[in-house]
Amino acid sequence: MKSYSAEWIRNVGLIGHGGSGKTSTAEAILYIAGVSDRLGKIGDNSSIMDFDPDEVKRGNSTNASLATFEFEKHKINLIDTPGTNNFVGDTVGCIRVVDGAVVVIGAETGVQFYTEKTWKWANDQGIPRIIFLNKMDSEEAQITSILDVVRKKFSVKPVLMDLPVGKGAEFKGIVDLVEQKYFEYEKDGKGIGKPTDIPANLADEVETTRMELVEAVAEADDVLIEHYLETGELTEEEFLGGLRQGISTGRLVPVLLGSALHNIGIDRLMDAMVQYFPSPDKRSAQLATTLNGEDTTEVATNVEGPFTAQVFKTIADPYAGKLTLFRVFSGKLTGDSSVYNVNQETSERVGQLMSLQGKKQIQLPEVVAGDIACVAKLKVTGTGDSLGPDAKDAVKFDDIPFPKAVLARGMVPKTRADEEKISNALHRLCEEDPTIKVERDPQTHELIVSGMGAVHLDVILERLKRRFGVEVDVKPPKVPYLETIRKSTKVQGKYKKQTGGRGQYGDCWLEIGPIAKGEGFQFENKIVGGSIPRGYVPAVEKGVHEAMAGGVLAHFPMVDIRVAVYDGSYHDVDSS
Amino acid sequence: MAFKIAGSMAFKKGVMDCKPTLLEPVMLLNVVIPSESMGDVIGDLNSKRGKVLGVEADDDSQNIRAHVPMASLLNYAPELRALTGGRGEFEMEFDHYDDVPEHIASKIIEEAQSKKENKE
Repeated sequence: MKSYSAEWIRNVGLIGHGGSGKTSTAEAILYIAGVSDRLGKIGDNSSIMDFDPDEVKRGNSTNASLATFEFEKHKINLIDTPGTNNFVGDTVGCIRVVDGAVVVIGAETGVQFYTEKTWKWANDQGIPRIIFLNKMDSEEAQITSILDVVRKKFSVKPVLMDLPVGKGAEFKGIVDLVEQKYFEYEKDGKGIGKPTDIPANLADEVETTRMELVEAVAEADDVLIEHYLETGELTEEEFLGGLRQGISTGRLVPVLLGSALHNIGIDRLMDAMVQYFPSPDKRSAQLATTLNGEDTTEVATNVEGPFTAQVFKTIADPYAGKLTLFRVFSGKLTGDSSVYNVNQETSERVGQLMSLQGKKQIQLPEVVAGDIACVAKLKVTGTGDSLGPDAKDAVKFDDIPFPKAVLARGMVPKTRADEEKISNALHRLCEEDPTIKVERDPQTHELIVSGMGAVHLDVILERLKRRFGVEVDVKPPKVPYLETIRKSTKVQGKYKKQTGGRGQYGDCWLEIGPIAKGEGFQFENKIVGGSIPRGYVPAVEKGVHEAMAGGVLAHFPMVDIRVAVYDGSYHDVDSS
Repeated sequence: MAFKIAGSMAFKKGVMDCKPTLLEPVMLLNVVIPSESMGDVIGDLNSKRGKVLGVEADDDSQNIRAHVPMASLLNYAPELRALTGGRGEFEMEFDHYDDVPEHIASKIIEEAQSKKENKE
């Protein structure tokens, strides 16, 4: 694919609740763009975006997928994200690198909790949004009530760009309120709406809804509202300018309608991505830190600047090995060169630059500021790392705000062979997915793997098995109980074994008592008059220490105990 | 060697007279939930032997801080999701060790001993 400069690039993420049809929307887009020759279906092998065996099996996305395509002279980098808490890392990473997000909402279910979460992340990062109300072919499809929820929950003004024609299974097209035309679609067809006249029975509704739309756009800008109040209309240019501005400030959110499954309205969503979302060079500068760690700097999308990029996703490809996906924020990168990894403080060789269409790789001659690309077989680079040209000109971008793991499980490798392979396997998985945490409990010595939920952990196990041949037993983590004491005592311990030959003799009196929480263990030598020679005292301490490792109640380690040895006896020959 | 054994013997014997006590890790839990889930989440924390330290309201969400034994939180991610329709979020970190209440301690001790017997 040829190289596009920033103004001709759009980086778009599909976000929203699971089952709202994000991947189906992506499939329809790729079909219209000519990437696929038939409409991919989720849960079988025809899907371009859900190609991972985990996704085919589950019928939902467990990974963010990238597909690059050309559309109306533009290059669009489309990232489809999973719609569940379990794979939140990919959604957060995607939101960092896109300049616009299509929030897909199922018209039959409306706003769901994960819609709210993804909305909030996009809002926090200042990413412009379009709402795509999918599944307009459902008998339960709603519009007004959903927009009410959007208005209330997200404190924004959703503006309806379309009106549907036909309800439920009869849904067959869309009235475009901007162009004031009716686009009729062939159900399950090529996805290109045929412009025709607006059905007469809709004329009034079109008129009122269009007024609302124009008014909302005019209100987004002081100059526009003045002109609008004077003339009662906006020119096409004013309208588009006002809409774009309203979107980029997040005050206006255009709402488009369609059905991904039947390929209705998708071509218009694609138009909207190109028309409404800002190109990367229009995005406000990214904050970064210089390498001395002291100065904050702003990185604007400028191809003339030094090369800077951030990795937002790592894919383990069974053939190509490790694929590192990154967005270039400034400068450019050519293939067969090298980059400096700021986080790992080392240089990496870069081979062929590529983009992806699901799992298919497309070669790129270079990647310029604002573009998204991937490279195979980087050695140490992990998700979230910042890349630069060299140690001098590199900057570190803010960490991607991946959430912390919330569900921990103890893992026991099934065999000796599994045990040897597991730490390398987990290390690789952590590089790809920063929401996985691996640690060994210092007390129980248990290997603890934490993730974002039960399904996430299931997928981790499946990947361990499929990719690394490692099998493990999984159980809730052991609770690291401790034991202590609440009272003091004095006690004698006498060990005597004198049955001919060299014997054994040791005799000591101990004071045992509690000490303050967190003090651990204190040992004191209070022997006076040499009842035990100094040389034997460390052995007493060692004996006590070993006994403390497994307490008397349930064999948990004992803590916060003070022991003093104050008396005893010894034997000249047999003591040791 | 003999003094090591003597020390160990003395300690094991003596500790029995010192009221040995089981301690459990207690986490500092920070839960953010929609206001309408407040009753369910607080009720659940009580049943988990949690002690609520404070609640702060923020728009239509509530931020609860509580001390809760780690043993009650091993499945908190799916449990909180179920209680809050997926909207609740939490973070936790180890805070301190505390005495395990008698009736729960006896169960843990029993379990540990039966495990030990199985091994032997």
